[in-house]
Formats: sequence, structure tokens, C-alpha cells
Amino acid sequence: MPIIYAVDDEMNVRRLIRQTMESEGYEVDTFATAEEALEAIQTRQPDVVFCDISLPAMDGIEFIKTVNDKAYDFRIIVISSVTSVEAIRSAFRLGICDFITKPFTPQELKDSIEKCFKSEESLQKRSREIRKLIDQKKYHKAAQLTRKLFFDYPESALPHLLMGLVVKKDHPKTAAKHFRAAVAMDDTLKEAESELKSLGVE
Amino acid sequence: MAIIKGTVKKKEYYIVIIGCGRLGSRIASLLSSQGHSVVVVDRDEDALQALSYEFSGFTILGEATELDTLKNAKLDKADIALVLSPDDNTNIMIALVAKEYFSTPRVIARVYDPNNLEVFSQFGIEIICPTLLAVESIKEALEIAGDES
Repeated sequence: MPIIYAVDDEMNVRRLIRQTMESEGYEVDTFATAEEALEAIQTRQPDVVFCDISLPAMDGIEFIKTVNDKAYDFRIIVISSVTSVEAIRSAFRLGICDFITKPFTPQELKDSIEKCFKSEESLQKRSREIRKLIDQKKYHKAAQLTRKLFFDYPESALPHLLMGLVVKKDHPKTAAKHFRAAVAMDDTLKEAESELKSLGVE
Repeated sequence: MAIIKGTVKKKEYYIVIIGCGRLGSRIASLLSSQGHSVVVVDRDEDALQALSYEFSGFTILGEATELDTLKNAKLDKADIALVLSPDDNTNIMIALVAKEYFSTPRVIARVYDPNNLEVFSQFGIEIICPTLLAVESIKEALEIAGDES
């Protein structure tokens, strides 16, 4: 049974997430602070974490950064009443899976979690196909599929990495731009960094 | 539950309540305790803060006659809108916006003046009229009293 953690200082939000997700068959644990959640994560890792941005003491953005630093392998969905484009963009830059605004409907929670599970699976699967095409030097087809990936996963750094790999032989300058974009979007993407180095660009 | 009669049965509904007076706050607590996701909209902060401890939904402070407030409440995603402000004219306006602009599947409004019932019915809005309900209750009580005597 997939495990879900919900981190929110509002009791009603924790209650609604628990109620909706338990009825979908998930095991749910809730926490009022990021610190409590981090402590629980050390003991047992969840599959998905719902997390608010405005939290007492450590805020949601710090929480996500801490999770990223420790390279935990679970997805994060932000639930927040903060709706500014900048807040949403900075959360996506940290590699979150989805962003839901408050108030939320039970269906939004269900759709978001489904999207998280499906998108990760599908993104990895499609990336593997593209890498295969690059290995077979079928660059035209690989570029076509990567363009679709940009459209479907605008928040992911992977399409930039893949496009860099597709064009690096014939267009190293363009490739460098894509690798740089990939690193900017996800600084844990070591492959993009080493590709930049191999192109002689830091 | 009578309120969701006529809609596809779901485990939990997303319900937006306009007006957090005595009726609005009570129905909000009842529905949220039944597991529905409830959003209460009112322009009076004190009214929202007076919601009972059992209420486990969301509150939005704002003027419900403004489109942005209703958008913040995600009325476009609501299964049911309960329009319970103390003014009939305000209620008809909000109920119409819910029905026509946000396409809310069920819109139920409170109407104080029975003379306004026809207007609401013309637009396909379901209505609750406290005056008529009281009349019915009194009639029923008198009939029972009559039977017993």
C-alpha cells in the first residue's frame, strides 16, 4: 500500500487529505510541521508527500530543499494558498510533481496523485526510448519525441538534457544551451553538468 | 442525504456555501463533519471566525458578488452551491452566476420573500423559502393538534 505524508499546519487540511487518500486505499500520516515530517521520513520513507509552503519554523520551500539535499526518492505535491506565479515557479524549479491551490476539491487531490505516479513512470519510459534512438543515431526521430516531451513535461529538466544529447554532435552551442537549462532547472542532474564539461563549457 | 438527491452519488462533494450566518455556518459544520469538502464565503471576518470547532473546511473572506471571490472558491469545480446570504436580490444574482457562468451542477438558494420564488424557479435554481417552510410546519402542527383533540 503506497504511503502518503501530509505536512500542513492547518488541521482541516490534514484531515481532508487523510480522509480523501485513505478512501482511495493509501496509508496516510500527517504532520503539522516540516521538522516532524523530516523526522518521520528518516524512519520510514513515503511514496508521496503533500506539503504546504507556509509552515511554522521551517517553511515548505526549505523542506523541499532539505529533501532534495538528502536525495530521498519520493515525489512532492505542494498544496498552498499562495498563488503567485513566482511561488509556483520556484516550487517547480525544486522538482515538485504538482501544485494545488487551496481550497482544493477531493478530485484535485486524486488527479494530482494519479498524475504524479503516471507522469514519473511515463517520463522515464519515454526518456529511455529517446536515449535508445540517440544510441542508434536516429537523431531526427529522437528530436521529434523530445519536442513532445517539452510540451508534456514543461517543468522537467530531462527534455533539455535529452535535446542536448540529440544535437551535441552537429550543434554543440545549442547543446550547451540545453545542458545549461537542464542544470538551472535541476542542479542534481549530474549528467548535464558532465556533458557541459565535455563540451568544454563550465 | 436529501441535499444531494438527484446528482450522481459520490463519496464526497465539493460544496461552496455563500453566507456564513446562522444557517450557513450550521450547514457548513454539518456537511464538513459528513466528510465533504466545504468552502464558506463571507465578507465578514467575524462570521467566519465564529464557525464551530467541528468545521473542517476552508473559509474565504470576500464579497461573493465579485467574480474573483467566487473563482478563488473554485465554484467552477463545485458539485453544489448553497447561496444563503440574507438578501434575496444578492442571492438571485450569485445563484445565476453559479448556474450560468460557473456551470455548477446544483445551485440551491434561500429566498425570504415567497413573491420571489417564481423568479428563481424560472432560472432553474432550487429554492428554500423559510417562510413557506414555517407555514408548512405550522400547518402540520395544527393538523396534528386537530387530530389529537
